[in-house]
Amino acid sequence: LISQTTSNFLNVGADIIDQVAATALTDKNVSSSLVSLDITTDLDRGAIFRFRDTDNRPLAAVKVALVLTNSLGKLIANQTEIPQFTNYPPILDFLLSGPLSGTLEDNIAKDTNYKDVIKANKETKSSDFAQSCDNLQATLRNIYGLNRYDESLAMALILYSTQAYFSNDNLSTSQCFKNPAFANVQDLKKMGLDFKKPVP
Amino acid sequence: MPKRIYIQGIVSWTAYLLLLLFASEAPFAEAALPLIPVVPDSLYAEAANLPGDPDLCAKADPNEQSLGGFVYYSKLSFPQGAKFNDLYSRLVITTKICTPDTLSSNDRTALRKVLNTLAITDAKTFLATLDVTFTAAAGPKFPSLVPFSYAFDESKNTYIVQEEIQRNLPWQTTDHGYSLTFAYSANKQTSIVTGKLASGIISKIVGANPTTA
Repeated sequence: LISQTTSNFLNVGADIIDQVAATALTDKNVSSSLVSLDITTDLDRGAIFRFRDTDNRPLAAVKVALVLTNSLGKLIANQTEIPQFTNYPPILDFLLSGPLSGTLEDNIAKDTNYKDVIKANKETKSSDFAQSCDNLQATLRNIYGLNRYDESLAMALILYSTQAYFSNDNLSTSQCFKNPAFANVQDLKKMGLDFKKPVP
Repeated sequence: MPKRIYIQGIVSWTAYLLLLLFASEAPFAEAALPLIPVVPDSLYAEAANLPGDPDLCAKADPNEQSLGGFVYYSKLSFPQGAKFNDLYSRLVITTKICTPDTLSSNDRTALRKVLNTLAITDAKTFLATLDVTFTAAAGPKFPSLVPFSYAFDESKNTYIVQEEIQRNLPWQTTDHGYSLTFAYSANKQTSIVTGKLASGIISKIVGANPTTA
């Protein structure tokens, strides 16, 4: 899935490139070469393009190569293991790119489901709260492009910040953050993190 | 909502250590969250460069194929058995100019020969462009990048080489492939100013290494 953030980023970029093309690059395109990188099937990691002269000497070269990570909290991890943490990385503070400026939290703060989760209290029905949590998790995954582990980290930080989650049984015993269809509290354990009532 | 530590500008390490000290009794106080260092571009370049990768300016590369128009390419692979579940990938693009930045007489002659073979005469600007799209999604693509360009400097009667040494595209979940289009464009009407303009604008819109997907 391409996150909405990146889509916006791309669209804005394309508009400006069109303007550049209209003013500066109106001459002919003298060469064009298409290469596909199939990551998961062909295990393509990247490509090197070389611009050679008529004597086959390289004049310039461009390398396009993938770097992998299992969590935005790790930044670089060329491995497929589950990311391990000793404390929660500040995933909500990460800056988004493109026109969606600000942090992840700045942006999800505008989401209705986020507001419902944050404002939940002892009067909130368990089922309503769980539904808001599921919807929020779908937003984190589908709109902001978080993977399972980061979705789990983000949900934990949001629930810790509600103040009410751990002190109201109707919230803490709901199915919020326990739905197997989404990242859930079990993922936190696999990452070495606790999810329990904070020490006063 | 508890206060957060925003990692911007120069961090006072003394203040940071004091924060950690006072926050140590509260397991989930956000002041205790570890600061994640800003990763310098060079580390991404290192991560993208695995042992065995050929030198960018290699005179010979056994895996290289011609794509025509003086474009040659060789593919890089992940090890067999690599798995990609629940990962992010980001493309790291690095450029290396294999000649001096101000072309020597020999290099200038070599470039002109290439341009002549491509039926370009009196080019004032010659740009390499790289377009990246996702194979699993129709429509959106990254802004065109200009990894390197040659712009004619009339005062010095030579081409100036401009390069964008490194560009990191945003993180994406790794459930799709990429299509890369490498192309050359030339312009007879423009001069060094256009090259700088294109390079500058493109650098500006792509931004300073977006952090997240």
